[in-house]
Amino acid sequence: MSTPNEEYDRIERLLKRVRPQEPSAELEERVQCAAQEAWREDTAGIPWRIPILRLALSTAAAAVLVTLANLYGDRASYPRRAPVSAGTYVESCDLDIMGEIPVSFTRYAATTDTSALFNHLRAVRETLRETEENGLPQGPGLSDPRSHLPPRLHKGANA
Amino acid sequence: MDKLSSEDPIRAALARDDPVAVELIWDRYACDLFAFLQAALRSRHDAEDVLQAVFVRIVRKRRRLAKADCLDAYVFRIARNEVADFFRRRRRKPGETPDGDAWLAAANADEQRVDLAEDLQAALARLPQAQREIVVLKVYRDKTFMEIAGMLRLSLNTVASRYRYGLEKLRDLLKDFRS
Repeated sequence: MSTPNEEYDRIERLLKRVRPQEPSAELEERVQCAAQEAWREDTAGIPWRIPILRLALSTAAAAVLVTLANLYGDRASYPRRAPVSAGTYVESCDLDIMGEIPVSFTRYAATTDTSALFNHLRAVRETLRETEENGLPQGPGLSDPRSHLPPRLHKGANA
Repeated sequence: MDKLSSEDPIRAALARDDPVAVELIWDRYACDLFAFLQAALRSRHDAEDVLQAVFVRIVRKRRRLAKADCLDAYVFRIARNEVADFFRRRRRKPGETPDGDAWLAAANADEQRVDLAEDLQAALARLPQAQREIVVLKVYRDKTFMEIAGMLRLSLNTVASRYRYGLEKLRDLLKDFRS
């Protein structure tokens, strides 16, 4: 009784009495001609393909960049919610100080209608002037030593 | 290593985009590929056609080939894809018998036993394609299991077990033969 290895050796010896055909000289010539032809075609196609490919790629990249810039630019300039404690109150009703709008509001102010803001400031100045002239408080907000900022800003900041 | 030393000129020619790479690839791979294709297709004529298609594909993919980690694996991957395309085009299943043309021939000129070649060809034809490819590469191209595993991107155990199953099947099929 032979072992499996001996059996395998016997099969291998038997198989080796024949062998697959080798590639003939004609086949070599045929294949190499076809391959060289493909090489030439491919090489000839490269010079005009590369610039077009580069152009297409750069166009696509530019489109992506512009889209992303638009998207994130809109998000960045969208009015943010300002902290109430920082922007709602100022310590004095002095006009000079009131003119200094807190930094957190400047971004919002840039997106607000400026004529409405000036109108409102003018109204506040009038009110303060009347207060100074009459010596009487004209509104509930002025009884407090801290004055409120313009209601429009206040409303917009909380929006 | 012999394999590495034969890969270097091919890589260098591919890097230079030099058509001489075709000849170098032919010298390095033609016999292995032709045996592999004959085993896969069980037809010399079909193997010739597919070998040509493989070389054309290699040329078109030469830039990727130049960057491939393993040239053998890349070349044989192309060959396997071309075999699959061939079966798809011909609507022939890998197990179906092709129109008979001999792809095995007597090894020695003095041994003119055509019937032996036909019988061995018929026995090999009854192996599954994956086993037949490995048996042919191992027996006829003297490849080691490690080399075959690298060429076909298979694990060493898979190659060894497919070879063993193939030989077991051949032993049953060829039990009437005496060596």
